[in-house]
Amino acid sequence: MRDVIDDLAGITPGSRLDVLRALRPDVRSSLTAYEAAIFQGESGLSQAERHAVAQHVAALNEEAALAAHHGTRAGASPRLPALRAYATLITRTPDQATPEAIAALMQAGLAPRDVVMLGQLIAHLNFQARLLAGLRLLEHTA
Amino acid sequence: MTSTHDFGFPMESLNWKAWAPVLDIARATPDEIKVLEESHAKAKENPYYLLLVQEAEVLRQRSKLFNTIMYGPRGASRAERELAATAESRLNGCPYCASVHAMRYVQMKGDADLMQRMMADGVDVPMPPRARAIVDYSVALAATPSTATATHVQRLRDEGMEDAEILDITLSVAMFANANRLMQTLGEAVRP
Repeated sequence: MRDVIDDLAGITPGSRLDVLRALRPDVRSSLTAYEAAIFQGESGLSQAERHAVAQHVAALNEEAALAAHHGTRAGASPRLPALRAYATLITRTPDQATPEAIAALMQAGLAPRDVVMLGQLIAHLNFQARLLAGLRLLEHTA
Repeated sequence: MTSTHDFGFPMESLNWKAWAPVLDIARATPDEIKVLEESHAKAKENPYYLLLVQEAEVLRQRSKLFNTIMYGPRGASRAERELAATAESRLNGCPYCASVHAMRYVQMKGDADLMQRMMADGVDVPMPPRARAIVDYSVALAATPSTATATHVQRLRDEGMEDAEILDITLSVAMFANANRLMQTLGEAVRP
């Protein structure tokens, strides 16, 4: 089963990286299911907000294809600047996280489960960025 | 400015305190209980999982991903996956993650001295060449954006690692780019 990583990394069926990734089928399947739960699950965060935050985290990681993938589905909201600011903090400087940053999200109207969804979303995009970077290196150092 | 590094990196079991309200286990639905049981042996008593289970399906899928990457049968040894995870957690400043995975590494590999030095002094402490190659790749890939290069990957190959093993180390680093950004940002480590 192919996943979004295959599409973004340009991994074609039968290629060396396809064969390599096929050695770990459970990673592909659980990554697909995790992605679906984050972007398609019901949430106090709209899908447009989720994709906008994803685009932002991908851009911070300089993953242009990943950012573009989400950019076409992104949309603005009054609280989007607060969501993006949190995503920047957590992505670039996770050691600067504070309880006050969480409190600010809740003051912006996020329920506890929305805070969890936002955290999972940011964490997931940071996962994908490292996997994409690692796959490129494997491809180019064969 | 404070930093999550300020806590220090003790190599002992730590507790964790959430910065947002967690699920009251007495009110958990059968599905939430099931997800907790699938996620971790002690998840029902752990505020980290009681926080995350408020998005139950997301946690279910993430736990599957985490458990297969870290504990599934693989090319790269479990100890080397733990080494990558610990180095990244030490770099990013997640004391809880670092302590758990440093201790797992020692259980499997037995080199407590290396882990104690890395926890105390950071990822640049002296270590054998293969461990050095894994740690250097891991912390470079952990950066935002990644600073990992072909040279890092070539050093892993020179240590005899196959592509599948390098993919497994990459997945471990990706998983802890994720895990650190939940555990050190939604709450904090506390000493028991």
